[in-house]
Amino acid sequence: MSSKNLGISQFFKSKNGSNKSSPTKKEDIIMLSDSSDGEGEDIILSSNTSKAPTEISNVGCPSFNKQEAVGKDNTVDELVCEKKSYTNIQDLLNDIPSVDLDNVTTKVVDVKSFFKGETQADLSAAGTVDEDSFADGATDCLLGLTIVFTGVLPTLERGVAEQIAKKYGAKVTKSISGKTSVVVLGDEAGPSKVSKIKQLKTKCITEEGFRQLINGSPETGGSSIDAKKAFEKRLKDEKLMEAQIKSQIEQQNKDELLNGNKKINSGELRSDKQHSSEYRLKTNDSLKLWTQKYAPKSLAEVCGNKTLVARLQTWLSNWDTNYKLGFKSPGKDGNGIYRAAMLSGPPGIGKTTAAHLVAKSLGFEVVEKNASDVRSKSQLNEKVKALLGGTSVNSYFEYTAEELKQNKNLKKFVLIMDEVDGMSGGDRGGVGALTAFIRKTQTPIILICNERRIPKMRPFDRICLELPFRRPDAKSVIPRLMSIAYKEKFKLEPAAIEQLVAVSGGDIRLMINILNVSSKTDNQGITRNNISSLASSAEKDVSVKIFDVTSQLLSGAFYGSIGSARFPLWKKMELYFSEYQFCSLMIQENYITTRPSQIPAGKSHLQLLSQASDDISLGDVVDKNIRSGEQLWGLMPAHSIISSILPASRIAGAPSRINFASWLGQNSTKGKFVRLLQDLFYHSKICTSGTKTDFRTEYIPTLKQVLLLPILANGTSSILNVIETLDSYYLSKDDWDTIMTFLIGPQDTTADLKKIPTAVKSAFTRQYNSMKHPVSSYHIATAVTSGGALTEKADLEEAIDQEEVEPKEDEDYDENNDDIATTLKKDKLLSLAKPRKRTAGGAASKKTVKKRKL
Amino acid sequence: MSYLWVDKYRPKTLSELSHSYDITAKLENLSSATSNINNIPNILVYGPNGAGKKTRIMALLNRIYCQDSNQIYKLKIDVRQFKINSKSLELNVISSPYHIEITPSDLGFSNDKIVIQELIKELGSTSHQFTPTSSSTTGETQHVRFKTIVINDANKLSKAAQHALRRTIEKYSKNIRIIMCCETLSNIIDPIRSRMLNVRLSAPSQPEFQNIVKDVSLKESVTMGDIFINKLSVLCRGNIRLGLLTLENMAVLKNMDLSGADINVIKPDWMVCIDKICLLTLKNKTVDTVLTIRGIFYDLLAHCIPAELILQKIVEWILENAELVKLRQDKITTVIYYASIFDERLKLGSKDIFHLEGFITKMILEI
Repeated sequence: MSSKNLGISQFFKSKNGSNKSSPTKKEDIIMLSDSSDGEGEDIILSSNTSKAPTEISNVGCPSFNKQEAVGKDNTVDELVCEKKSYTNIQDLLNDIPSVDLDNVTTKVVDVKSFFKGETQADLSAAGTVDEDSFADGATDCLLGLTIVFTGVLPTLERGVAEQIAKKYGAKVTKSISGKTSVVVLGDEAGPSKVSKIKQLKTKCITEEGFRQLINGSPETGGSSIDAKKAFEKRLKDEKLMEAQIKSQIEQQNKDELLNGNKKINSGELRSDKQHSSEYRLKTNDSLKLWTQKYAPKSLAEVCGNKTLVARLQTWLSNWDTNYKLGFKSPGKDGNGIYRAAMLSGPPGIGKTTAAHLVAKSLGFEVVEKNASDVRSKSQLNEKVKALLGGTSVNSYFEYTAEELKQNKNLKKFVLIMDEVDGMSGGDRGGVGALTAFIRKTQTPIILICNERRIPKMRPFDRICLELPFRRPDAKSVIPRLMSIAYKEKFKLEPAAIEQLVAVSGGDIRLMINILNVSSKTDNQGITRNNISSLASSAEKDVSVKIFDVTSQLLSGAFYGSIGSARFPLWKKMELYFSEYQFCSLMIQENYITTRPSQIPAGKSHLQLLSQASDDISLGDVVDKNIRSGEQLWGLMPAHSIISSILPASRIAGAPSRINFASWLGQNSTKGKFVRLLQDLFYHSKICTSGTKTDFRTEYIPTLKQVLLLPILANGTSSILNVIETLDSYYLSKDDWDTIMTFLIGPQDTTADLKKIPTAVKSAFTRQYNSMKHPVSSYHIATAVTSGGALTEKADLEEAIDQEEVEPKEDEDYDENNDDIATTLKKDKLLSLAKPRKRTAGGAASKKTVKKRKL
Repeated sequence: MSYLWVDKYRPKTLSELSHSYDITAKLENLSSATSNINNIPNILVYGPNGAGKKTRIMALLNRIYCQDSNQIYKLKIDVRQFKINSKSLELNVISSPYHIEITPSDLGFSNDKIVIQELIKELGSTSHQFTPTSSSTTGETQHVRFKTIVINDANKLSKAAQHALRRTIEKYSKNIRIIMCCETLSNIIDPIRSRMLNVRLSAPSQPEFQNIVKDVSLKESVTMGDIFINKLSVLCRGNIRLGLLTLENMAVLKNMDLSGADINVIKPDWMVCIDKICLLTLKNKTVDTVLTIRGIFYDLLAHCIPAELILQKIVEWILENAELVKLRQDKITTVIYYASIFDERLKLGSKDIFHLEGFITKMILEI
């Protein structure tokens, strides 16, 4: 409570004072017109009009007169303050004690003396507080205030606090600026924010002050200028909205009328069957879900993304012209080179609707394939390919000859491929086939997907007109939802819609569904009072993503006495269970990079880290018991605590960028190398000793040296020697490459491999391919494995070859190897090992017998 | 044939073996012509890596079946297929006419039992008869009536597989003999141990090791000084395979001249990485170090270096260099204490990196 704050409020007053007169007049006019228009207009608006009179009565309220007296008295203590009824929010604000900024704890500076006692006392008394029980203020009592919440509040969660503020009409922003009227400061506020507050001299209050603010503020913010301005603005907005709603309703009515007439007129031209079915669907409108019933029926009704829809329309209307030009000239808007369009964006924002409506508006016949159709390469070739050059037969039945002549599109198809990113699994080769179609199609294709950026969708790059649909903002959604509510005689407050938008993430379909459901279950409609409960019930269906789970578990605000009270253990476990397979992996990946916010006295970051890694290690032991052998899935809760929550709690603080668990990738790399090693090991097993690990740890470093160094040193001349070594160990050229990938650290071979001249490399490959090589392993005839077919074939071929050469080979053997050779001859399988060149002469003669395989 | 020296100069007969003569003598007695050759027991050979266990086993088989005529070394590799619940598994079987060599642990911990159930029983239920090919022996030749099965990595057999083996060994003893080969007995259940002749083969002593290396370098005309061979024996700790491979590695690199006074033994790539980890833990006791070391761990594990080996080598490094880096005795004890804890965790758990990281953070903290 300092004179500074008084100064600010006066500053506000003087700043806005010039505008004061004109808005009040306007307000009157609006209110007048409001009541006259509102009568009998709709149910929703009546709530607005009913508000207006109370407002007026407020003006006449005697409490207004107290304003001056209270406004001057800045030193009244809190007790008195609560008893007073304020008319001006600024006055109340001045009475609420400011926070002493010099004593505020910030995240880094570890001064807790100021808040510690208070917060704990609060906790024991109140515990966590939810939205409704926090404070009970008058409607819109915070109107006109811009509030910033920072730091951890003693009892309120940040989100709840913001909701409360919004509920009472305040504007909540994240960063502090000159326009900020009040900052609600909590524990561990960001130091930069605190300095900003000091700099701007913004009014600072605690959570308790916030409560007083709500309890004490008069309805609609009282007489303060800011409040009035905001109130006018809102009324203006509502007015505007109302007009929009009205026009939309009228438009719809007109459309329906028009459609009805048209149908009756064209009824005779259509085939009876189709007509009757459509007619029946129309009449049973009340049976439809609202999402269907109120789906946009004309392009003007599509919510948001207007420019994108317009682009789609021009592209489609110019398609024929561009087709004749061979898609060579980009045209004015650069869309002339695309044979297909790609609509992408989150679900429920009207992509499919827009595509259908655009096609319909230009008179195209729509052929739709979605995820329910099989869209493999063969199916597409069979069913869709034929369409691409064809014309519609339907049009001959539906339209008159004149109509067809006028609009050539009527004979045309547009192919809409919905849910393209859902092509997978059974749709083998579907994406490839589709891109092939797009390159040469004679029919426009519209593709629709949710996730444009996934690798699967990469083939569509640069061959499609990209139309990334965005979530519509609240403003464009409000008229639509209000019109629905009006038609269904359902109470919906425009203020509630904003929250609905936030909850559904801009998903219009979901919003309409929520309305539909609550219209059946809730008689009171949706108001700003019950929206939060509705919102939370809708929110629960949204699963928490693994990255959010990790960052939440690792964030310091979730632990300690305050955090745990707000976010108890069971909630943390719930987080774990929403991604139980990856949670522990993600914690393990990210716990090292997390900076702990609270380091207990006498401990170091490293000690906390060591404890955490100890827990993680123990968690893995539990994990093994769960997943292997006895499948003790009952241990899952224990695992959730040991592997994720306990280590996270030790180190929790500010996680840096959350990375995806690299264990998964590393594990599959390991799997690959284990397979490679197994192959190498068994190829050479006949001559080597030791286990697989010994082969890796002891043989491979030397083998690499022996196989690579001569080539590096002597180039082409050493190739024969290297190949001989390979053959002695029954290794192939591929194995040579594999061995080179095994080395790590300073002896990594990638640099050395680059030093080999290309000429030497290709000479090596050529030389190797031109020779015959022994094979040590033999697949039994029944053993047909993936990739095995090829080697088997090679085996047979070589085996036959060898038998042919066998007789004259015998002389080439050295004396000391003779004993081996005799038995080799007996064993047909081992005869493969023979064509090794023991002497230079033998080698020379052998090389002439070349056999190239395809 | 251009084999690596370690394979080129591997002894093929019992008489060529160059260390642990007492054991060689016992094996010779077992297989000598005077005793009943069909009375040979099942044998369990264990001992450190690179001491010559397999070499000895093969030399023994060479004596039993071929009278040192080297026929036993005519090996081929078959791929045997097994079907478990419509999943087919492949096992590489190395075989000569006289014996087969299998590594059941290749099939994985849960499937190795099937090898015992199928393959060994199959061999055990047919009778065999081999006539030693030697002609030098006087008098009647003894027929060998059994086939030998060599089981590698026996300590990696699951308990189920070991139990499957217990009765199999006795039941089919008429037709088969089993020779198991492993580094440590700790995982082998007592019933198996009691059915086998346990032979512990220790690594060669320092002079023996040096003699072997010198012998090979003489044959390959590598010049070599005492400095090198001393350093080599420190690195290899009696592992002959590693010794000869490193010798060749160095010889190729230095053009057969290893006599320089300042010569340093090249360590295998992965051991260099482990040295780096140890140095990092000693020098930079920060959180970032843990992150760097995690990267190295991942690299090692991905390239098939077992976690247990990493742990073992880190502890060995600490023991070797304790004086150099001035570590107190109690700190060394702490390292060993934690190493044993996390070694157990490695066995009990499934994700190696978790436990290695647990160990390394403890180590950074404690020393």
